[in-house]
Amino acid sequence: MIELISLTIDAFFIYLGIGLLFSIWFVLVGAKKIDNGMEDTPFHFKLILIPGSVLMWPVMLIKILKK
Amino acid sequence: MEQEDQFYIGWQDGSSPKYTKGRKGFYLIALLVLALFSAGYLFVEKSFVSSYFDYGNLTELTGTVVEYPVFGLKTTIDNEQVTVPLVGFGKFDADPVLEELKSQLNGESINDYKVTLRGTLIQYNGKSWMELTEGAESIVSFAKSTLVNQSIASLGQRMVIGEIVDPKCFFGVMNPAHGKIHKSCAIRCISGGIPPLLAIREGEEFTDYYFLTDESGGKINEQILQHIGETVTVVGSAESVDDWKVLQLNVDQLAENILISYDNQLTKCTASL
Amino acid sequence: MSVSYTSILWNKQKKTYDIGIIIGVLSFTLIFFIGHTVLHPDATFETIFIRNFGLLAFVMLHIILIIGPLARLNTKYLIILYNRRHFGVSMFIMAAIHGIFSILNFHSLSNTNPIKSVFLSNLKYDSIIQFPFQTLGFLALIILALMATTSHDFWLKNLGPKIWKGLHMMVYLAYALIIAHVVLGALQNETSPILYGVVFMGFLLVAGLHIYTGMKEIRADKPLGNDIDFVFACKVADIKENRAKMVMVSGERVAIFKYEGKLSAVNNFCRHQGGPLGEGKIVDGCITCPWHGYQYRPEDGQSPPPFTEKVETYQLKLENEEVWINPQPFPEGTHVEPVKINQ
Repeated sequence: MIELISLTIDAFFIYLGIGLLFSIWFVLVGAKKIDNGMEDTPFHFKLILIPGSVLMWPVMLIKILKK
Repeated sequence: MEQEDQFYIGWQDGSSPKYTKGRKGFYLIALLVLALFSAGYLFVEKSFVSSYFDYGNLTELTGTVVEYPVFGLKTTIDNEQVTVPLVGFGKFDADPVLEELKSQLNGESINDYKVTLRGTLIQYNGKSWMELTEGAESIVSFAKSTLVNQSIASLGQRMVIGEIVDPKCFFGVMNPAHGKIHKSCAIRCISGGIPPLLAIREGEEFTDYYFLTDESGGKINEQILQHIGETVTVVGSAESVDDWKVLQLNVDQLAENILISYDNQLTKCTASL
Repeated sequence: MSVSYTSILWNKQKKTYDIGIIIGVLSFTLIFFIGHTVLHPDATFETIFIRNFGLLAFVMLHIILIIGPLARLNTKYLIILYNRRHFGVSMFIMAAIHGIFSILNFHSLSNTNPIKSVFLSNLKYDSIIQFPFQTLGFLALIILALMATTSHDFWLKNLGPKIWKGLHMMVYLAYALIIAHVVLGALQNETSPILYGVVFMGFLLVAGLHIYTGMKEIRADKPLGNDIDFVFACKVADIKENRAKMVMVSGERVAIFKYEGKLSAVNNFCRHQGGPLGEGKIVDGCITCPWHGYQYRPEDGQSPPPFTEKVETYQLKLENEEVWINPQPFPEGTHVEPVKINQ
């Protein structure tokens, strides 16, 4: 069980790591593809989208790929 | 406008008196509730023991290094001969400092030297500990000196009821540093080499302590990890080493010797077998 | 929406709201710290800090959970419900301070990764009393993080209302985890029975209010009928000018509006955040949601351009002074000729 918990936490870190990379691309490029409200948004708005995209990146990735 | 026709519009700057009144009432109650909980908690929470961690201040102590039951410095504090056990920075023992000291002495017996060490003092209930905050830099100086003997006396077979704590936090780095909340922190400290200590409670205070070792005085940190932070019954042969006590356990019978008991009242019936 | 986003559309009400939160947080913290220096001078700073933010987040969570049912019982509390997300994000920040500082204090500077240490130090998962309670708090904090970081309208729109609503309903799971975290953690180190009593009362209050308002809504939602034929909805006189009457047909709530001598029916569920359009009002000829002011034309359920939200519309008919409704909705945004009231 210890190994399973340990692996799950490693997977969680990898998930967050990918999320961090994704979020940078998402707020600068990706979000515009699915939401035209993202055009001309101020920089501080892009910043507040980062934590959400770090956590929710698989959902957003699927939405962008489907588009 | 009629009362019924009022309509709350949250995206506008103003709102009708009905809503601002609702908000005022809610704020007032919420603020009262918050203040009540903040102040009320002060009166229902358990009181704190007076332990002390001299955070940010480094003290120099001079004395003879001892290695049993734990790495410590036999020295004088307030005109009293005491042994100050030594621990490392964070949740680690100070063994690297001991190794460094030995290598600086080029194989000569460490007992033939008076050593001055610098660190942060930890104090509770008349006992002092020291964190060698700076690692190898904690060794200030050492000089040849006459041997100081340790007085070791057997106290016979004993059954003791108490809680296994990590003494670094327990003697003052954290407060409170025992029980459920501190359990996983204590497991980390002891897993990091800090010697396990059985603390015996008398009411709200802890008044007596035993270092736990195996039958030859060696470390048993890894074996007792899951018994930390609970009330346990321990059977072993006890001895006093200067101003500290040791309980030597048979590691093979550990599971049988450590009987878990949830009743704190039991601690008052400490008996010698 | 086709207008650009911004972080927060500040207005006077939101500012008042946030000032209220700041005053609450500061008063609590000041009383707690000053109280400890006076009454418990031996307590260490870290202990006071951890307890302060843990207790503060716990009390705030209860207040947040009570706001919903309270606003349903008395509409004057809608002003607190609106902008509740600021309250929620603030509560998450308090919980995060508590969690992060506890992990640093109890698990860092050790021989194990601090997050792994939370789960792997105390392994008594098979015990109730000795259960590793910190894991419960950690999981609750992740749920609160999901909610706080996706609270902006951008996420509501782009995750879709289903996922968003699902995420935010997880607050009840987080609440359960937090109750267990407190009972198996903090309370195990304390001896006062008052603490158990207060936690239990808090739980009763939250659960009781939810059950009470839920039952009230079930009673109000008694369905009118499920067949294709028109069913009786209400009397014309039951509806106030520029307001609506809510009825339940085919498992959906429908709002019937009266305005300028006409009647129109639309689905009650605002496409923005699920606000109750039936509690809204006709403003400048449009149905206006009471929650965030999203607007729909009553005759076709469409938001006026440049907005693109649409809701379902329903066919009405008038017999004497009685309003009858066809339970089968038209697709979102279908134009339905409003029924004229004979006056």
